[in-house]
Amino acid sequence: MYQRFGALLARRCLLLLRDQAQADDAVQELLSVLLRRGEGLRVADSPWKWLARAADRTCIDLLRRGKHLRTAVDIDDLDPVGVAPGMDPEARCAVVESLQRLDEDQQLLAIMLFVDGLSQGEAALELGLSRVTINKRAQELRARLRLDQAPSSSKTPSAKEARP
Amino acid sequence: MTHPSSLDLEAFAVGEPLPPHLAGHVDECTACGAFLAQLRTVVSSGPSTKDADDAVARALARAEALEPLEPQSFVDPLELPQPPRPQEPRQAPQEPKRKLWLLVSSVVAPLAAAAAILLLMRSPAPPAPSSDDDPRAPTNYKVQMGTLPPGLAPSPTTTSGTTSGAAEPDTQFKGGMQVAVVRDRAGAQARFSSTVRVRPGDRLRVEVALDHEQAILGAVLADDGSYLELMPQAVRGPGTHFSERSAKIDAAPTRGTIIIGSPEAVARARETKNLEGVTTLRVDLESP
Repeated sequence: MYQRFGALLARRCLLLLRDQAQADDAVQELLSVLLRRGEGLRVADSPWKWLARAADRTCIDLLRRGKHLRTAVDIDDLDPVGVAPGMDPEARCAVVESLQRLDEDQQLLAIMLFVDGLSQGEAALELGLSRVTINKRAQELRARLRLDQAPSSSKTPSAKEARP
Repeated sequence: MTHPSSLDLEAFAVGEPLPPHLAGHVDECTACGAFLAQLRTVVSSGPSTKDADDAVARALARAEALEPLEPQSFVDPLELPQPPRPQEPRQAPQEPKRKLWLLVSSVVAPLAAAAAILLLMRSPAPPAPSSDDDPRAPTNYKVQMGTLPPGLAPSPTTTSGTTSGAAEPDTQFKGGMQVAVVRDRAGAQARFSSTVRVRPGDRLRVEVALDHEQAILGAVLADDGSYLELMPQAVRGPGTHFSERSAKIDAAPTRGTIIIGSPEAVARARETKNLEGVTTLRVDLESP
């Protein structure tokens, strides 16, 4: 399992934590948690998506506990792969840089919408909330991250949502 | 054109199927194809079998040593939306604990550090055991310290069977770093700046006060050579820091030493068993 997903897990943790040592620690922490409480992985429809969310939670935990993160690392150095087609790189960058300052319920949603590129409908399904609620929270997020003012030619998750 | 989400493409890159309505898209879309190629490069650069085995072994050691439900907010990610979250009922009783840590770090720690410095300045003799330790207790007991699984622990080393505090204080203050350990025994916490005596069931957490930003790492080095990291390597600023993890004392006793210092110094101490250059706190077993 670790051989198959390890590289992507490391990439994800590094992107969210922006610190190589913390990212390594997050992966280790995630593995140890999986060894104790990883039953859900065996029955998950998509093991990668399950692991990605578990990694998100581990990183958010570390962000909450850590006080002295290095913040000057360029996101392009952290993730040479870049964003997936159709996603807004500036929005992803804004989320990654502001993740530590977001409220707890905003962090996962921000990751889903602007890092993973889920549509609001997909995020609503995963979080068990209505699309109206997700839409409202997404607007709050965009305002907080000042994404509405950022020029972007890319298609954002909100724009994706508008498609039929 | 509707592109799959990054998460879908990542799942596809590791061999999971795409949702049916997106399968055709990826074959035709050059942008998605290029992104997938990059992802597959990343996936193929993943850990080797040996690296994976090592990582899992380390995680296993950590899982065995850590508290069973750490980190607190971890739950099955697919069950996230379902309120109430399993961990929420646990958060309330932990609030007083956090306040206690805050109290320890903001009031008790500076006072205890000042008292320790005063004692060290006034008396050339080694510090006496803490007041709640049994003064009759000999110093060469066996304690467990988060025993690592066989194969992980470094090769056993010979030990003299005595504490290192015979000729000098167990706590060495160097470079403005002050170290103490907080012992949690059935909810009752006590703070030690020299030898801490433990018994099965105790938990130990390290407290480090820094006067300037520096990279430090904290761990327990048991006398049998096993090693348990309590404070992962990180650059920490001035102030008081508590170890992210605690060591639980189990029934397999081994005496040990808590070592704090730069990552290089700790690694050197771990390898050579020479504790020069790191700040140490001795861990011994309390008399029954």
